[in-house]
Amino acid sequence: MRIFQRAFPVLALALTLAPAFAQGQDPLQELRQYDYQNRKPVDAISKQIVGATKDDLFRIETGLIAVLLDSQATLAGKQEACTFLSRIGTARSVPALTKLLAEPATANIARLALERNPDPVAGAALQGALGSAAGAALVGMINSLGNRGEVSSVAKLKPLTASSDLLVAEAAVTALGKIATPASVAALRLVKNTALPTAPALLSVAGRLAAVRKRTDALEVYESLLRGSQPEVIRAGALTGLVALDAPRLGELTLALVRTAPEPMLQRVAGRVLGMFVEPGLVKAAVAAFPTLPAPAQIALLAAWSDRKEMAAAGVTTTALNNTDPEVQSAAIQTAIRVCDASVVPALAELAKSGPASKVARESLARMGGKGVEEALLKLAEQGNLAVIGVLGQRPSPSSTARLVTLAGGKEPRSAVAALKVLEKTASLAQEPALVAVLVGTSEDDVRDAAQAAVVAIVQRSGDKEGGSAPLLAAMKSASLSGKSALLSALAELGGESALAVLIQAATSSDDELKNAALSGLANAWGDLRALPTLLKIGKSGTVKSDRVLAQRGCLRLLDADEKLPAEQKLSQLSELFTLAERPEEKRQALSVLREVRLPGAVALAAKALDNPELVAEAADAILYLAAPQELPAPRKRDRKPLAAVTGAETKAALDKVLATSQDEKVRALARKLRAQ
Amino acid sequence: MDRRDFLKGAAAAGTFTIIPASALGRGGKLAPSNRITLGCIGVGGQGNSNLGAFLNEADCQVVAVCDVDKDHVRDTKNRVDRHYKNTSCAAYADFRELIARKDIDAISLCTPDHWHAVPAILAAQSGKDIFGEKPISHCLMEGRQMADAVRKNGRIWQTGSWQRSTNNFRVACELVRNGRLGKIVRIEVGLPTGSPGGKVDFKDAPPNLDYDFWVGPSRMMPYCNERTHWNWRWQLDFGGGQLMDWIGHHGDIAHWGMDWDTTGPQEIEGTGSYPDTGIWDAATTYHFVCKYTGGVEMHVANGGNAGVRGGTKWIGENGNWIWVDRGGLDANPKSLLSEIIGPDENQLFRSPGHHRNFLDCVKSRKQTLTPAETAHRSASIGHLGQIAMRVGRKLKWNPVTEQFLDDPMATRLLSTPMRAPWHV
Repeated sequence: MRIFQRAFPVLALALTLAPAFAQGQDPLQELRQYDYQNRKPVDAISKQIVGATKDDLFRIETGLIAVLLDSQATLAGKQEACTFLSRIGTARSVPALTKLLAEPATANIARLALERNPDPVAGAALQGALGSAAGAALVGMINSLGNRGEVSSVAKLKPLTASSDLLVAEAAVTALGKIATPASVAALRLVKNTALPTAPALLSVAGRLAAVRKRTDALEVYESLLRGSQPEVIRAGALTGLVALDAPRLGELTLALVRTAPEPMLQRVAGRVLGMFVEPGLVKAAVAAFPTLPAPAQIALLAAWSDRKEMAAAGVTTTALNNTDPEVQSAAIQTAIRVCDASVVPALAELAKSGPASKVARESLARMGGKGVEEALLKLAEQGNLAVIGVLGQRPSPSSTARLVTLAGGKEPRSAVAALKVLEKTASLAQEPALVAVLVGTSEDDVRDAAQAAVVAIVQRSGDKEGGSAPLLAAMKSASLSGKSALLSALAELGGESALAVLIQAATSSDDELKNAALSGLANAWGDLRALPTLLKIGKSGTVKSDRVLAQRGCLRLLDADEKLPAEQKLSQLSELFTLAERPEEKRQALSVLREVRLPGAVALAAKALDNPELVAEAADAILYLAAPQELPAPRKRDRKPLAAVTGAETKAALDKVLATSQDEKVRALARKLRAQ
Repeated sequence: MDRRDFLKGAAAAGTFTIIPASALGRGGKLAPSNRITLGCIGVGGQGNSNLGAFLNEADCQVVAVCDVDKDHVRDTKNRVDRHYKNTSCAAYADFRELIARKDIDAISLCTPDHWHAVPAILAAQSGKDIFGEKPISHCLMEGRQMADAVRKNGRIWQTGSWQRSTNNFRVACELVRNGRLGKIVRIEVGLPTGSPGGKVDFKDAPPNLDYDFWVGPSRMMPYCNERTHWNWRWQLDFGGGQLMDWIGHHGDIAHWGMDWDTTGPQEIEGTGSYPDTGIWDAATTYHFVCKYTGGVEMHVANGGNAGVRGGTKWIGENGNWIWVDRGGLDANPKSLLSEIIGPDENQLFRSPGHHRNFLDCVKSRKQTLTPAETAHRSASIGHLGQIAMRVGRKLKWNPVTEQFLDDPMATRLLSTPMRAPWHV
């Protein structure tokens, strides 16, 4: 049956597919008319191939062959048929595909199907067609033979390397480079045209020879390509190949290359290879040679030692830390943290202090592992190396945190501040009492500020405000006046019921410093409306004007930030504050807060403010804002609906008043527009 | 000589320390001889983005641009000349001319997927270092050949999988690598969903575009507006759909977290749906499962399909998980996010930026953060998934030899024959 089908494919096709054709829905039949427009038959055949049985595949291949043989089938149909055959074609489809090789329009697509077909007859068909092909079709066939690694084609490819058509010659050279046989090497050696990629082809064939265990042949090719007459990239490739084969005397060869190569790139590649050697003798030789090597090789060598942690390179790396070439110095810093022990830390810490290498030195120290490294860093931190204190923040650990807490309480303010900045990011509630002690105990403003920031950050990070406030509240009892002030500031930032009670009590203290600290905390830092009654009381009846002003501003800040208070209550509070405000500044602030209170009363309050010449601009702005719908700016926009316009008689009256009082033409124009709506 | 590590090339990429740019001249004044000369091949959208990044590096000089679209070449040359305040940027329509220049050290390669392998391999053979876009390859074997060409010629490769250069992805991978989830039992990689489309509207290509060159090694298909520029990625002849467009990002991150930069799955099975109208034919929805050593399953799906969330998620044996994408980093329990990786743990490289890392490595000859082998293995996830979906059965894969076990049809799909005269 199989032979019968090969001999009479069309008849066989008819026998195989007759039932399907009768239904008129066979995609293999429809493929003959495919013209790139409707991909349904292509898609249907793809789906048939998915999970197809052997019998299914036989049937599909038969149908595809029929498309190829159909003189009425479209070119697009044949192209798709070839593409499918490149996936499932067997020896059966080779004759039909071979026939298409002769046609310029189909030569390429047929060749693609043959290239993927693993049956030897496909390779033979390609070789057989070489003699009658030309131009792109010939190039394609040569490419396919190379891709198939057709050993038997070397004799036919060899003369093509001398073709006057450069594309053909180039394809032949490249194809020979893909065929792993000494005959290919011999053919490539005979290529005279220097414009052809013969050396890359030889590199390629050497790699393939090595892969099929023809080591001696491969070595011979690589060694020949390492000569100085070859371009840098070929020599680099040859060196790489020799490494892969563990060639004899490779270390000496590489060392010589590093020293003598004129091209920086080859120096780098050879330096990299040299650094990969692990034999003690070769490492020793590389270390000895290091000072005499060109900078590109030194950098690559250091990088290679770093990657594989070559401890024998510690000495030369340490010396290179002071190299005058910044690139070499940087490479040495990077390498030192991997190949040196803790004894190198002081040298790196010195570089970390300042200068062009300081950044890389700090980053490197932050990542340096190993025994004794942290202890060395801590000692340097305790000696006042501020850069190292920062580095410790990048590599936190329980022991370093404990030592930094001690440093934070020390006598040297700059070290204390640096330590506190680190602790702000790394410490936990366990360290809080000690930092509170620093907060209340220091006489240095910078240290106090840093300690406050650290304590607040720690408590906020913990998520336990009440628990975190406890050490602060406890410290209030025995703290000095200035200490209490600092504690109050921190408590105001933290919030919580206990903190509020202490702050309210202190806000009415007879001691000015304490009172100011509490009032300032409530007005400037407290986070919710629970502070409002106290602030309002002081804003209303405080005996000192500055206290009243501060309290009023605090009230306005809290009302502005709040999004829960009903609008009517907010308006009521604002009306009271507007009346209480003794200066235009606070009245302006009130008008600003008023803008989002979408009530007619808010419009009326703003309209009343138009009577004060000092407030006309802000009052008009508030009225216009209230009279129009508003989108809230991000991120509030995410959580809240757009603000609706306030309309009605109050708004019309207010807009009329704006038109009567404002001299700003833009404001007036907008007022007119809103009034007309 | 530790030849095995050398040959693996990227074996220790995750632990490499890379020379920072600050010490290699970034921001400083450099003699021309110390600058890396760069040629940009493919200067459409992404190519221009990469170009901009390189123009900002003081130790890099863009000296040539190349594109088969004359408009792209003209606009980009003007951009480069404006930047350097001269007119010396060379413009090419044929990448071979650019690569033939001996004074160019490196190339930026931002062509469509089907045009990655030929210029990349030629560039490597010509001694150029390469910044190449993801996915590295159009088919799996092209990726293998590209990685081999880079290694054998001693070149440096950086892939545009820039997520490795951002903190949230690095932190996620460090947490996974340092055992914060315990043994990983499942990974989920969520990628975008594709769309059918591509209006069938065949016509002559516009005069500014050399369409034959654009099609290059792929099958010749008639031109229509939605064939080229950006839309190429939705067609299997030129790209690989959303799956291949993104596997080099989130799939790459999955590998990075698992330290699988030089390996791949052992079994692959899955399904996809392919549109049958329009010229775009890549899978729009898909879900395939890759099984790795130790039985770890990686589920790759378009977002929402099979319950897979967009991004990369590692799930540990106790149910804890870490998830990351461009929008953030999340974990269960949340306390994992506060974990600190100490100096004596497995720390991944803190990248100064993907382009900067490439230039640094051109000088130091260290492996980049995403070398060719790594990119090849990341892309392989997608390629293997595509093949599994195309043949419709479970495939067994040897990640060492990179061959299917006893599946000739699947084996054929590992490579894509090239239209003459192109070859690699």
